[in-house]
Amino acid sequence: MTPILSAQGISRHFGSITALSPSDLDVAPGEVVVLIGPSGSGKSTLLRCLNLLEPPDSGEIRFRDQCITEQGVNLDQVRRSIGMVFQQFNLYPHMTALGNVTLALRRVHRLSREDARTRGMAALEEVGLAKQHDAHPGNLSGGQQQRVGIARALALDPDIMLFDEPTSALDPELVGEVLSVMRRLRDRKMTMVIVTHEMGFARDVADRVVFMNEGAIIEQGPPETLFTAPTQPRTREFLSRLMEHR
Amino acid sequence: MGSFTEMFFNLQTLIEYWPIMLRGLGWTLLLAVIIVPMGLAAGMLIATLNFLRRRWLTPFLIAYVDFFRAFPPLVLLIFIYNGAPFLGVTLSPFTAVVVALTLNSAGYYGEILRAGLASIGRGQMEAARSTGLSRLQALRFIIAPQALRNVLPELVSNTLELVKATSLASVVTLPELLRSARIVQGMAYNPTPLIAAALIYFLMLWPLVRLLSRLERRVASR
Amino acid sequence: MDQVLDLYFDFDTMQRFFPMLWEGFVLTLQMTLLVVSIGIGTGLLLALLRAFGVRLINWPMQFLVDFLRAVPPLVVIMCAYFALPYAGLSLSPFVATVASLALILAAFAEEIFWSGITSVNRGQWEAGRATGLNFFQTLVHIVLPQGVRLAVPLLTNRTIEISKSTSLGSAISVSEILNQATNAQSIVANPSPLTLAALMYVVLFVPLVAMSRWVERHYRWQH
Ligand SMILES: Nc1ncnc2c1ncn2[C@@H]1O[C@H](COP(=O)(O)OP(=O)(O)OP(=O)(O)O)[C@@H](O)[C@H]1O
Ligand SMILES: [Mg+2]
Repeated sequence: MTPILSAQGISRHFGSITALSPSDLDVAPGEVVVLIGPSGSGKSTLLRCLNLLEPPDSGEIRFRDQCITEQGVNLDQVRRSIGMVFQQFNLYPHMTALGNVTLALRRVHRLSREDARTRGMAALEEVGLAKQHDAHPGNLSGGQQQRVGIARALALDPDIMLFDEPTSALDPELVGEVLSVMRRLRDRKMTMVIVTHEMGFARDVADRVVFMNEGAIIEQGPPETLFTAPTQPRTREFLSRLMEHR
Repeated sequence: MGSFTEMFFNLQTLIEYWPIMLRGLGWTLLLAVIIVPMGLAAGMLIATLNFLRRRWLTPFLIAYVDFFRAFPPLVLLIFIYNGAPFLGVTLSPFTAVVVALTLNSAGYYGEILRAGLASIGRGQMEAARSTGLSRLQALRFIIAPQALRNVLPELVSNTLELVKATSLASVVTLPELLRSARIVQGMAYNPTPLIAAALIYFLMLWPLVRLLSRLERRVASR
Repeated sequence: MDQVLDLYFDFDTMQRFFPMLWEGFVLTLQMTLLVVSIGIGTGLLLALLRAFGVRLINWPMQFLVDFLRAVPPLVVIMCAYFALPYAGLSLSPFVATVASLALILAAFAEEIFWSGITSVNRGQWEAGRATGLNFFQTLVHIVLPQGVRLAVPLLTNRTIEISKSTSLGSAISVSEILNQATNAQSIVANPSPLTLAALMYVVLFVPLVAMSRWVERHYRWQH
């Protein structure tokens, strides 16, 4: 199957630090890719390069037959079709939940107020928060805030969604509600790239797990193989250290 | 261009009259050096009393501060300077300025310091008292240093405004920098002295303005 | 004590000069409204301009802002009134005062808006851009409303301070409250007009100060 998103040889430096050495990543339509690896291994950097929130220093990214790393590409247009969910939610505190979800619909998609509202409510419904549409982020729990974050991306009807540790900032008892929303997205065949430390979840939902270390992709494969029979010593080391901490 | 420089940056005028300007600057500095510590000391007194005495003073302090926040310092100065003779006291311009600006700034400093002390959590006082420090000691060694850090930008800002406010003295004929510049302007028939006075103020206070911007940004990014 | 009261609260004198001071009151009010609207509007525009990060614009702007923050308002007013005519630009006392104060307020407001804008979390920019909003849309719809909100308490305080400075106009004979009062006082050789002026300032500005306290409490960010 032709990939919907394809990154070839992308890299990113911060001063003298190599956050990402040249790496390739293809994502097929409907595929769920999970990125794992130790802290500072470049997972976020890779993810943020995919929608050019961090422009890569080298390499090429193709999205739906279009090269988006070329000069003169309208990135705002591209980003409409790539949803992103942040670790810190990044909700707009001065707007209601519905306001958060509909802003881009109104300003980017130029929908009328009613149409934006209908679509926004549908997105909130999907994450189970239609009732709270009038609440400001400050009055929502962490889990609810993150679900609004997901709805905000979802409302734009993206072709692919990027998640950067969506549950890391949450209290343990709130993690479940966010993960179950993501599970439902998987069941709907949403294409997703997810950075997470929730290994059980990764094993459940991933079609492919990618292990990164020191800015490089070390190993990848279906969860059954990667988690039970990793071929690379560094992958084994990482996984066994995780097991110890359990 | 030549005539423009001659007008606005006339060196000859400056050379001829610089002693007057310099004396003016001297007065400005003298005012600042007297009023800033006085205002600060009065403010500290107010804040400390307010802190130690179970805060019944707070409404009075707030009333005092709000009154002076609503009252232009120049009006206060004129009121004192023009009004005192009717009571049979004639104040020198210098005294009038010192009294007016000290009254005015004491409230501002007091309010800033009060807010600073109030920003420190009760836990700090409890921890200090639990190690045997008295209330005053706790204030002096634990609370005040943290409070000062928290309100440093406001303190700097208020001091800057206070130094600038010394220029009001020119209205009651005290020959500080601004008034000296006006006097020289009258003698030399060109605006160079005024421009020079503005530049002197700028050079004198610019470091404070820069410092303030950095402090404010540091607080904002906390 | 009674004597003092008679002297400073001479009701007849106050009544006699009330119309004169009332004219001053109206003028002060006009100046205040002009200074506040022009000053804050310009300050906001400058802060928005600064967000684009063009050095050729930002450096001179920063310099001008610093200058206006460092130099006493009375000096700026004097320069505008007494020095500009030499450059062929004669301003009326009223215009010189209003223009100077509006400029000064613009400088302060620019700094305050700007530090509000910069203290908005970077994640807000990213969230905006990630949903396809462009730089300007993100600035206007997401960052600015939050930045302005952070700026409001500082801005109200500064606005009050500068509005009070309209009294400086009396130094170049703008017939606002203070000037009318000192004129009246010299006519009757009695300080009551000054008392009346003081009362007028209190009536004009105490509500503003009270409002600023309210604003300070209510605009604290709830997260
Ligand atoms: N904006 C930045 N400026 C400088 N260095 C950065 C920046 N972003 C990331 N880095 C560095 O790049 C490297 C990779 O960071 P990245 O955030 O991609 O790691 P990560 O795998 O997401 O880690 P974590 O699990 O802690 O989120 C790290 O060494 C980090 O310090
Ligand atoms: Mg990360």
